[in-house]
Amino acid sequence: MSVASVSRPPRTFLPGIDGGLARARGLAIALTVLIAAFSAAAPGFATPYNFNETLRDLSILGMLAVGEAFVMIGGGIDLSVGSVLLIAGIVVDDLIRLHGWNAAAAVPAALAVGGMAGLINGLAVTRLRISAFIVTLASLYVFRGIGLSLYRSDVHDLQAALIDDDSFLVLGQGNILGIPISFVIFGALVLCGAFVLRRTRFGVHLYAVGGNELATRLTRIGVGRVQLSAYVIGGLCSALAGIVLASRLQTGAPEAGLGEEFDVIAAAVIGGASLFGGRGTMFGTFAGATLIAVLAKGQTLIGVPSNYQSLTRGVVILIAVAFDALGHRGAEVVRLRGARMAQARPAAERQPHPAADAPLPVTDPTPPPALEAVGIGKSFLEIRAVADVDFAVYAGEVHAIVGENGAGKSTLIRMLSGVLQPDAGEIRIDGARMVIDDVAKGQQLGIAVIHQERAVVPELTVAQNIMLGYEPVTRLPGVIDRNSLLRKAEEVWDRLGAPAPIGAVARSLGPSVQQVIDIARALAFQARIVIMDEPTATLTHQETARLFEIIGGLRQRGVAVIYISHDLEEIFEVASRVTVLRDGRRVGTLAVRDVDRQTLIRMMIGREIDAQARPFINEGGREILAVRNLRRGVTLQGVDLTVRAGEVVGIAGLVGSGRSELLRAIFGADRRESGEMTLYGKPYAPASPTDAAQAGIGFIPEDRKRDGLVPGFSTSQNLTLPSLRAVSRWGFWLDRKREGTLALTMIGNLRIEPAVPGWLVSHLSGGNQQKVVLGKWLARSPELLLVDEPTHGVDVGAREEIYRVIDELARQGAGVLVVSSYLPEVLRISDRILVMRDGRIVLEVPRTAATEEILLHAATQG
Amino acid sequence: MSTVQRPGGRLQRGRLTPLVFLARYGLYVALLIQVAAFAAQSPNFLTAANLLNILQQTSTIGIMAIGQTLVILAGGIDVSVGSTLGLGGMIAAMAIRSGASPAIALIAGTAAGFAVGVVNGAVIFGLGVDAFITTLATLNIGRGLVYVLSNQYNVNVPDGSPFFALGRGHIGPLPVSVVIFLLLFALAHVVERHTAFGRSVHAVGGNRAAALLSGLRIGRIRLAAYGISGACAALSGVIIVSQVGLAVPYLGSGYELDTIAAAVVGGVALTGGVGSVLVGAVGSIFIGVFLNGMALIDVPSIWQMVAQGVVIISAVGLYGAARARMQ
Repeated sequence: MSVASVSRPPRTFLPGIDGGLARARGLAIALTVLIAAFSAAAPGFATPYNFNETLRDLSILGMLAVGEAFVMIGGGIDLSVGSVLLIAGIVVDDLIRLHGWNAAAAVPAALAVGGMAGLINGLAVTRLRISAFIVTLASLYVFRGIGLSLYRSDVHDLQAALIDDDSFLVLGQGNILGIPISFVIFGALVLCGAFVLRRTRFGVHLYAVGGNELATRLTRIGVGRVQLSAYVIGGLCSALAGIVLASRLQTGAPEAGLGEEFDVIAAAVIGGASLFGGRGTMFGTFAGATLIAVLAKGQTLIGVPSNYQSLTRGVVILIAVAFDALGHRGAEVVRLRGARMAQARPAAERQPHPAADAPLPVTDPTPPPALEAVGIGKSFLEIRAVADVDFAVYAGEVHAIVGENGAGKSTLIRMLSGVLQPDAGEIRIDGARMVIDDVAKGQQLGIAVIHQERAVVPELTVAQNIMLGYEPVTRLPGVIDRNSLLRKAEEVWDRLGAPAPIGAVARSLGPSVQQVIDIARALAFQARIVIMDEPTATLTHQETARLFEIIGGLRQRGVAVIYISHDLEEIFEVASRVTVLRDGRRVGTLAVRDVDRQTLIRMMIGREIDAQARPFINEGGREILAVRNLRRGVTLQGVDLTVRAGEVVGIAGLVGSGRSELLRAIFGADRRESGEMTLYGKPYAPASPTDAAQAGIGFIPEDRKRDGLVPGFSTSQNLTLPSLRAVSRWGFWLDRKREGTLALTMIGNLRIEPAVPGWLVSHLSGGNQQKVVLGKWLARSPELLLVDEPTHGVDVGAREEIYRVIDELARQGAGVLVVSSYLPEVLRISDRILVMRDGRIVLEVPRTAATEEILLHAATQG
Repeated sequence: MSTVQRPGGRLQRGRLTPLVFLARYGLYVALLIQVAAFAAQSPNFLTAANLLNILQQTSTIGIMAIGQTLVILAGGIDVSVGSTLGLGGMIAAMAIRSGASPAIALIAGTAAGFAVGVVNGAVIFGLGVDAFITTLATLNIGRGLVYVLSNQYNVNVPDGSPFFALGRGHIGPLPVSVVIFLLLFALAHVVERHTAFGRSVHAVGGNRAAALLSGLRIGRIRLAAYGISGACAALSGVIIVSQVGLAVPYLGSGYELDTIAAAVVGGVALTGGVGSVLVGAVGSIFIGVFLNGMALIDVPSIWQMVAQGVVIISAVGLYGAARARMQ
């Protein structure tokens, strides 16, 4: 598992075309084809003169594109490049001709103007927080307006004197060894840009800012400053292009740069930059600009009228951007879902961690806790999230925190890491009182948080990610010392078992390896207290085992670990002490070996859970849904199942086994590749959720905030959303009375609180929000209800309500298909249980024959 | 944990801080201030003739803004309306020249705009390309089309043609264009508030995934929104050509900015789901007064554009800050 790669420098330290060899090859082919075609079609194309001219065109476009690429890598966009080009050209023309300035003075002055324009754009985006599209669209017009107002036709008219300062004209018109000087300038710009992007801290931070917001928050990268710099660079590049163009034309032309923004963005995108940020390279931009310049020149030479040229250009650009969008969809890293993983592992497999037997810290003499909170509290408006909590973790200890959703775990963690400030109490590090103003201060004090979402920048290597924000520099300011960076990163990486080559690009690695990168980063800046928030939510069995090994290593090195999890079995395996929170207060802190699961649960919810399952099994009436051999990529590999009227079918399985994808496929939300489905025996092939809904099927998605509710809508408006036709007269006119009746009925049936139809749904608690999502489908009296994690993030009271509702629904003859990560829940509400693993159903048992062990065994075998 | 009950839970109710007041009523206050300022600067501002002028100008922007507002409410944006306006006007002019009746010309122009809108919607929804870039592309493509169709020539409306009734005629005291704007606005307002389509538009803009998973036909809804936007823009173009008597190839250049400004100033959020056709219409009145006032006090058109850019930024910043504070 350990891979030592000391001698081989990481591949991606070499500047390259983003997207790798495939994109480079594609561009090269396209370029060759274009050149060949144009050479054949137009006699003047393959001549030295035309080559020279094309290079000049390319240089202008290319310089603009370099600036644009910088902005886009940082996650922004600049539509005003053409206008800045215009201003710079007119300014330099003015200064030289009107005011008699020397070229050596006029050029920097015009550059400064461009830089200022970029600064204005950048400030509006970063400080005023206005969308970059809008800012640069507005500045496109504003700057052009300013530029045109500087243009006075009496002076700038072509009939009037042109610029004749030779030292200036050489920029745009001169040659060196047959190559246009403007192209040399462009080439130098590309090389400088590549150096900055790959070898300086700014460049690395720019990729981070565009690539992963969490990463920049956790490391001490100033997002605003980095983005601002990118916009200034954009302005400078645009100004440079404008100056060179003015030199070439011998005047500052008023139409200069009109409509250029389009070609510029296309050049950047074709070269690998993305409108979504975090990607792009200088050489890629170079290639993209070349393609567009050749296309334009060739079209002109074969006599395509300029009207049609803009048409074809628009189409080409559309195609390029379409590919960007499609590619981005496919390469999306699997989003983490914080699904609960509370499963019991079979007794034989459960191995209490050595720490569980470790002696508790003796009272004297003992070093003070590495991190301690004394009586801390925090309120939001009038809600007390955390009240008077004492908490301490010692060096070399793994201390778990458990509690229901809303118990205050995440608020506590945010206070300990510096994201929030406590209203009451104090925090002590090694016994000394500390105020942790912000995340950076927390890091200085040695506190690191491993979040549920990965804080990894996709386009940077493992080494660059580990040292993010703390890159060692050479004597030259800002330039990264590559050898030192590699050495430091490897030191930490090998300690953690080096699960991947250190030169690998992060986006190619799986989420569990990316998590190890997060941990490595924590170690790299000498964290002594590591807080892990639901770390195993998306890990497989083996990956979890590896994580526990790593945690063991941390312990041995004296690191204090705070471990938050819903999975009580994990706690018994890895922690030595556990603290239970409930309603913002600490219920108790116990040694893990002194408690059992029932006790913990009792402490968490304050009462015995009613483990009474439904007293009978319903074997179900007629068949409602039948699925045969459903396939979709690697996530669904031939699923067969049936659901009958009146029965609740539960689906258990680990995260990643394909359960959510199965429900979505049945509901028509994801495309199926093959397989058949029938509804009441008749073929059922939904092309979209609209078909499914019309067929009488309802769907409760896993993430209600993301997929289930419209935040700006009221309870009533959300409840009636799938039923708009039913509450409308003549199929389109909303009948307020019918709406109100439907809403009030559902509010009553589900006991939604507050029972006010006009209440903004975003102000409801998680449990009530889930009821709204349920209610909107119950209002349609569905024949089949698909539920993904019915009680995720729902408090105990609401949970019981939801179970009752599902039970009711089945009693009335509907079929219910429930996916849940919480095995006790599956065993509680199902009549029949299916277990999914690796995209297939591997087990089917009636509830009476199922136990947690059997289910878990089936879910993990193999 | 007990149920969270925030004091601001009621729809559109919350603590009335100065910022919130500004966000909700600032538009009307600014409109009044604007009228007062222009009236002070120019004696011609509050004359009947000028007010009629304002109405005329506002109605063409307003018709376009109705479509743009719908698109933005649905979570998209349409930057192509400027060239769609030109396309509609050019096609109408060419139809009149070749002898078609005004009604046919009107329908032809508007239908062309609708077609452009449908293409926008299809690319955005079908291929998943960013709305801004797509409509930027069609802005360029559309303008290219106009130049191709007209072969770079202007197209005249023959003198005395009944077509002029559209742009220069009156119904009672009001110009026809104003009547059309008011009718369209009323229709759009009613559709937005009282029909399933209107509710769906808000849902799609508020949370597209949730709307999809609620069984709404989001493809059709977005397509319809873009189609309506294109049709509105083209209709405005036809009206303008009827007013001026001439279709120039660059007709409509830059107008897209006016519609976005109108929506943004009215408080329609560019993220979707926030705002309404009503505030979009008020926003277009604001912009109409603005442009009229600027012209009246002889501000060069270049600086008018500058000012508009500033207005957009200020409005977006202000509303954005207020919204962030209210959360």
